[in-house]
Amino acid sequence: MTGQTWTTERVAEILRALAEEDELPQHLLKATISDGDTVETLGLDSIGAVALIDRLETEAGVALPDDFLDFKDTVADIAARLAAMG
Amino acid sequence: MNIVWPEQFHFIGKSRPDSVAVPAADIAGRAAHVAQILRAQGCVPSDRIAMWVSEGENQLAAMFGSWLAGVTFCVLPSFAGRTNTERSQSRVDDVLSVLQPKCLLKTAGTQLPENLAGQVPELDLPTPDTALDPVTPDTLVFDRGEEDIAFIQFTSGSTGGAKGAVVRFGQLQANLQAIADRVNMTAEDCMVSWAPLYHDMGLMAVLLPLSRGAGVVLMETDHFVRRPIAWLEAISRHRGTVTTAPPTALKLLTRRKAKDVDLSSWRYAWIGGEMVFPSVLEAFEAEYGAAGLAKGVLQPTYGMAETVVGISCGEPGTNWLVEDGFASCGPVLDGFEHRIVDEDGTPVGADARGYLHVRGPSVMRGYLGLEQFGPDDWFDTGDIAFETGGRLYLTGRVKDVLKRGGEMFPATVVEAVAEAALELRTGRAAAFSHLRPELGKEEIVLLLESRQWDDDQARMVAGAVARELGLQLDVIRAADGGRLPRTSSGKIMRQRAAALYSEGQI
Repeated sequence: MTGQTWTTERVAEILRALAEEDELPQHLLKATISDGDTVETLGLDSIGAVALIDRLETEAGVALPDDFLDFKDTVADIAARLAAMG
Repeated sequence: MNIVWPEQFHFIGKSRPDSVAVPAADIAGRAAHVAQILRAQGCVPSDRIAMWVSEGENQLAAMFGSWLAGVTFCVLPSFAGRTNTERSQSRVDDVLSVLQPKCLLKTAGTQLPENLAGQVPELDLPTPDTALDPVTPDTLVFDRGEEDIAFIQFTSGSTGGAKGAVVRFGQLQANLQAIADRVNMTAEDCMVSWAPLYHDMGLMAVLLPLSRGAGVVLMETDHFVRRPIAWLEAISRHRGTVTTAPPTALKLLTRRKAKDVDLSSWRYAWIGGEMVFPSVLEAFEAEYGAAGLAKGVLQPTYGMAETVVGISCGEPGTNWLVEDGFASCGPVLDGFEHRIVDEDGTPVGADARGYLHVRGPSVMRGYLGLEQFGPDDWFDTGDIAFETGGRLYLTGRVKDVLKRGGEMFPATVVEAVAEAALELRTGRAAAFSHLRPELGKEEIVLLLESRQWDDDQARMVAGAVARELGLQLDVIRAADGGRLPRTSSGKIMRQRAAALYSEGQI
């Protein structure tokens, strides 16, 4: 998975995959997820955030700190931070 | 109230991730200081005070200092200060108007959330690095009678109004003793806890070891939330023997594995605060077996603030069992009488499901400011259970309360946030739990009556509920057919909606 570019769409796909697995809210399956959406406006709580961090870590192939996500982080922020980690 | 003090306490937090040891004499000295400033503030026995302090020296000192001064304390619930919205303000106002605290204790230099600031007189506690004269712990005398009120524990009344369970010293001692006896707790034990002290499980996690002189390693709840593996690392490092957590914590740690931990010292864990599914226990046991976690350590536990904390939990070293897909929560604790009845109050037969009622010395006699009941009256837990082979199995709730991560959310509050987000009139939403044993969770479902429905509306509701309540909803949609079931007087029937949802009929 490493080497792929981190984009908003890739983070959105991960969110949808987790919704498919009943880890994250079902409305994410159909919703349009855009740059400015935040962890909070997507409807995640701290438990959901841990599920997301865990999956991002697997996808990125690098260890992420447990406090990698803040509720005010946008999807674009997340993609940019992951991209910067190379 | 007899406290058996350990030599020292250990605290873990963001500013001290490797834990710091604080002599009990320092905590006792700090408690004596708190008692002094409460008296200087004019507090007299039977007054109530509120606390807004993070888990650490000052929280313990504020609790014991209150008791020394003869004052009843209340650790303010989580939603006090979580957000600064109007709704959060009204819930804080609700708690304060029920509690009517004489003052609010906080650590010097910490900023109160906007919705709490300036509401009642504020008293500053010295910061933890301020040296105070130590006091020999055993010289502290908590001269309180069985009828005196130890603390007020706020719980989510199903109507959404704040309800404060009144816990008296007699009830506290009865429950602590029943739990300590069940698990054979001794001074050799060491409790590791991150559970917040506004929660019954968190408060018990501090008071239970102190009833037997066991060690206490107390972690800031925020530290756990940011770094869940810190909990297992603390058990490993401090050779923790007992701890408590909601099943959600086990799920998080099955997902985010703690590495290089030795859990062989761990002998008992109260797992409760929400529905405990066998799949969650199995996955955690499988994950950490190699790290030394034995079978019979995880113990599904049932209880509530209204009974101080515990009603039933397993016997140490005994494996939990599964019946009908539900995990056993052990035999009911000594001192409790219980019965499982049908809608008419007639006891159901063995193994049959019904409404669980309890009574006994641990059961409170009423909420603060509301009608009190007598010691012979049965307390309706609002939960549905059956009993097989002497063990209790919890299967659902009749009270309209949603649970996630051990936190309770009144359905009415969640519905109100959703209705406001969509500018709907009151009574257009129904929030309820839908059990998903295969996923090991209670799914939270919100159905709405809305003429036009699109995904943007689901997004608006999800964002508003996450922002205002810190709660994630699993399913948000319009009710099929656009109508929710109602009583003849027009009230939403949540349990009926939940049943229809399970059948795919709504």
